[in-house]
Amino acid sequence: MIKLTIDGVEAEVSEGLSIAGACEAAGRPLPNVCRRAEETLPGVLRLSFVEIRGRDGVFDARTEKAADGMEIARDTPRLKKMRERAVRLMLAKHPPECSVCEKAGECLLQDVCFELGLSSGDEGVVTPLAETEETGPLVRMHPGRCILCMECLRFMRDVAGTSELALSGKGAETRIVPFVSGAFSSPLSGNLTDICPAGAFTDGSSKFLTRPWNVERKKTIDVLDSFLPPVFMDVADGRIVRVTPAPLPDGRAGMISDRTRFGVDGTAFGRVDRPYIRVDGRFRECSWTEALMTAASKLKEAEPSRTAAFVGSTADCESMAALADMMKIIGSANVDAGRFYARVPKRAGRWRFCNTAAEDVAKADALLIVGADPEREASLMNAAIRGNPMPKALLGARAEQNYACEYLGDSSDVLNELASGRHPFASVMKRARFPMLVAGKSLWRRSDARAVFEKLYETCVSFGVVKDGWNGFNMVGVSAGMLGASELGLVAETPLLPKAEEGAYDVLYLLGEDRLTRADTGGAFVIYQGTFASETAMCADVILPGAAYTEKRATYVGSNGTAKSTAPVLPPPGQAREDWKILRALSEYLEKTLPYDDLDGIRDRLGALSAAFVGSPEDGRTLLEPVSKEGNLSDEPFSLSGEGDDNEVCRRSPSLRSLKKIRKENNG
Amino acid sequence: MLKDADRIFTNIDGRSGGSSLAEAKARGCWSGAAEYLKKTPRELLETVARSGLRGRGMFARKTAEKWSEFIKRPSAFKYLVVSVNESEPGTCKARSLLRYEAHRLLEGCLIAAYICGIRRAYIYVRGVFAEEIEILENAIAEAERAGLLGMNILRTGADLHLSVHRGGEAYVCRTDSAMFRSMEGSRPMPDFGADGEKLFGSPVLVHNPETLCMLPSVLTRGADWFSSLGRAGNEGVRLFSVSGDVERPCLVEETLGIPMRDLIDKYAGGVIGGWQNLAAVIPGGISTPCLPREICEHVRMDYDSLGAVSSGLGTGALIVIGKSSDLVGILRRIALFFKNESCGECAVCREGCRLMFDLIDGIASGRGKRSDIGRLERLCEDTENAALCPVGISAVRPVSGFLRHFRTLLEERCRD
Ligand code: SF4
Ligand code: SF4
Ligand code: FES
Repeated sequence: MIKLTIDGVEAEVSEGLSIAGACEAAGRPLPNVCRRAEETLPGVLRLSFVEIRGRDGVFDARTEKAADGMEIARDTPRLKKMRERAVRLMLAKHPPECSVCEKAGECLLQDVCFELGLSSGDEGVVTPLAETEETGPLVRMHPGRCILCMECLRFMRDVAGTSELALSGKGAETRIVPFVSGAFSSPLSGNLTDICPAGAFTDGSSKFLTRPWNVERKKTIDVLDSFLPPVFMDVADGRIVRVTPAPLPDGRAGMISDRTRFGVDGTAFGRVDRPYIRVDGRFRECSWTEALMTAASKLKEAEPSRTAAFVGSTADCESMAALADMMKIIGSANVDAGRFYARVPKRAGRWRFCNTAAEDVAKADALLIVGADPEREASLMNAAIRGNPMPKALLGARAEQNYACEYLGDSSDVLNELASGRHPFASVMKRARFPMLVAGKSLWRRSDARAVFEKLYETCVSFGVVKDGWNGFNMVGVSAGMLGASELGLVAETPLLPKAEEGAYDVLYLLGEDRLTRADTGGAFVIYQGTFASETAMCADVILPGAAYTEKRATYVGSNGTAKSTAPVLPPPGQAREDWKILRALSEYLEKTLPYDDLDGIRDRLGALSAAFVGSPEDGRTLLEPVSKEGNLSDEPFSLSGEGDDNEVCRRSPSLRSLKKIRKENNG
Repeated sequence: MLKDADRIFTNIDGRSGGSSLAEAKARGCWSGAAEYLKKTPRELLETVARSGLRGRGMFARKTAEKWSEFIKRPSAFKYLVVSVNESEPGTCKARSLLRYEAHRLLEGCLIAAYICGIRRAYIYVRGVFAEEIEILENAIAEAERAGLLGMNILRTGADLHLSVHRGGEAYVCRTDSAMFRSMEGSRPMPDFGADGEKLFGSPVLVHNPETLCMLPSVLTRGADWFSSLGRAGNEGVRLFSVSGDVERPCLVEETLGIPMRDLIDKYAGGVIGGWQNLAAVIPGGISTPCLPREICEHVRMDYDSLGAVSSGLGTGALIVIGKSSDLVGILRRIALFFKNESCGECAVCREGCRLMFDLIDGIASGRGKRSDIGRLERLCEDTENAALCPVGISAVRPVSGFLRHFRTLLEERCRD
């Protein structure tokens, strides 16, 4: 610790900080539009000067180290004048358009002008630069507002790992230019809108919807990205206008993937907002009572073994637990999840999760990717992987990653060779102290999944991917809904859907399942509980409108195996209700009332079902469960499933769909 | 005036033959190499220290001091970079130097590398010097064949691998870190990060070609001879070029401290129309402030004398401006140069240069107001105070120098 004086006030800060850092630590930060810039880089905006008593001239607070006994002045008239002039220069070319700028209210440049009391810059010829179309509709770029702080370049180069943003021109013609058409390829590109201190990059999905000071900001978690990142959702006029990352626990700015940022508009369209029943082949609006009575009577009539329930990718844990309980009460054991998604059984244990903590990825020193596309399936983790220069190899369908990665082909023989140590990359993995393995959800879809996992288990053991104090196995891409279903043990050993197709059931209960078609139901009476007027809902006989994840307090299981709860941001539309409450009400009509009356009650039930829900998940560092040998590895090549997104919200989100389309076109 | 016998650059004007190894050897290049490579680097360093040699670049540091500091830097691998990014308008000496004295430069590289323990050197040449690059590459190849470069030079065990790096056309590459970024393949911008001053992650010694060319003579003819040239504190000779409104534009070698008037009258044949016709002289490339005739009368061409009149020696490239030239137009042209050449990293330099140009342009074309001159002054002060790299400061100095001496010229042009 060193002692110094900042503007006459004594402060004690830790050693080795720059002056800017020391000022920040002492709670007297410098005015600087570039606060988030790396500490030791001199502020390119030239605002971070201080004076030091007993030394001549002014000093750059970012490069100058703080020393014991320093007397620092942040705000002398001379410094004020210098700052003012620097900002005036910056404003000389800046278009005076705060009134229509989406950033206004959150703009650091605006803040600085306010702080300095500046209303205009040096007069100069301002040639307004029009907004460019190149970066697409979501991450909008307004080159005229750029103050060339270079933060975006740094982010794209160092974190997102693309060269799609560059500086062009020199001198007065210097500009940030995008080299893309329609959209950035990086699934992290939306973060540019947070990083840019001025209004040069803005979130197109919220354009002209509201002003930042008119929104109500709610903190919740996002479930579209299975890492369940904490986010802020801004609500205005009854809709979610923007999603931004919540700051990390240590105060640094967070980061989210484009899925999280833009996908939420999937919940805004095509919703069912009142109960319906089918009468004479046509839907009729009805009351909750009528809908629930119809459903209950059908369930009661049917023979218990001829009823079945399917849960889908958007279901939350509370409703899944309630559904399972209800089915048990009526005497049916037919509950299943995920015919159309990766089927991840509960007995897979830690094989379902990302077991390496984000901060531990930096420790890893060799990486093997099997059947995954980390950049798109786990963008956040991939950023950490990219930052680590370890040797990397990819086995599986060729997916371009934003780092150098040895391609081992897509044949399953290679897995055999790796497991037996004959493959050259095996020795790299063996030599590593902290080897890491990233597997994709596509493995679960294979017919020989058990055999693949048995081989993976062999490799993990022989490479030391899992050992005392280190678990380097990561399963990526499994949606939060599926992880929840698997945690609750709802994934049946043998898929039930083929039976349904054959007409083995008289009544089907679908919870948040939107991908079944008429043909899959085998002519059964279908009760649909969910959010979307999807194809599945259209073939139902009773529709019970549920709430989306932004509209309820519900639990989801994240990639790392911990459960987190969302917070309601909006009320459910129309007569839609929270999902577990619907099931609770239905059970009353069945005259077999479920034993919980409130959220605490159902959460206690969840806790009883799995320790993951009571905040004490099994230790992530425990060994992976051994997999017993079952069948042989087939010679089917590893491929990335082309079946699209697991999560129905993402599949329906207009933003994500357009983004996907553009990126696909760009890839030829 | 420098005696012919004391000249170091015996062929700077190309009158005594070409640049082949044989011709260069005939002029005395490489003659002492076998001799001094037998001595230890430390002994050689002492000789250089005694000669008082100063770098010919921007900062004019004592070469020996720079080296002893560099030698102390811990690293298994070090580079030497010769910066021939001659982009200062008005300057043309490096071009002739590469053309006619390439071997002298190579020998200088060898000496510096030998003393500082460097085995890999680059000569960073701006890309437009296509012909010169070819000559230089030929010279390197010849020297390698003759065992003067490469492995185990002259069987002394010294190694030096030299190659030419073609640069783009960025003025900002005169800043070392920007040049390194350019060599590494990125956009040249001054880099103030932790590894900014390193090339490919290793420490680098950067030199001006002229400094290196002095070294063979310093070693073969002795430190005392070298320090006897010029004046105390400003020892040695250097290349001066004279261009502009003179009878015979030229490139000459002279001792530091030669009166500016001598240079113009004796070598360049005098100002066109006589000394009375002189309006101003820019003493060292356009980034040095210009001087009016009264000062030119008696100022000497060395670091300290020019510093005393708030100008500088810069690159030693005199631009002589006669009364018939449009001074304001020249100032406008200078401002335009900097407007285009600021690297764009810092707002102060980028926007400052742009605004300065806008203002001067307005005044030059008769649209300006008197108050614009005040704004110009303020801008100069701002930019100089806060620019990130030396380019910003260079950009301001010619303008503030002009305001100091020729403010009335600007006022005359104003609308009011
Ligand atoms: S970027 Fe900031 S200062 Fe510029 S127009 Fe937008 S809100 Fe105003
Ligand atoms: S676009 Fe934004 S982040 Fe990028 S340089 Fe300009 S102001 Fe900075
Ligand atoms: S030229 Fe780049 S900061 Fe001045």
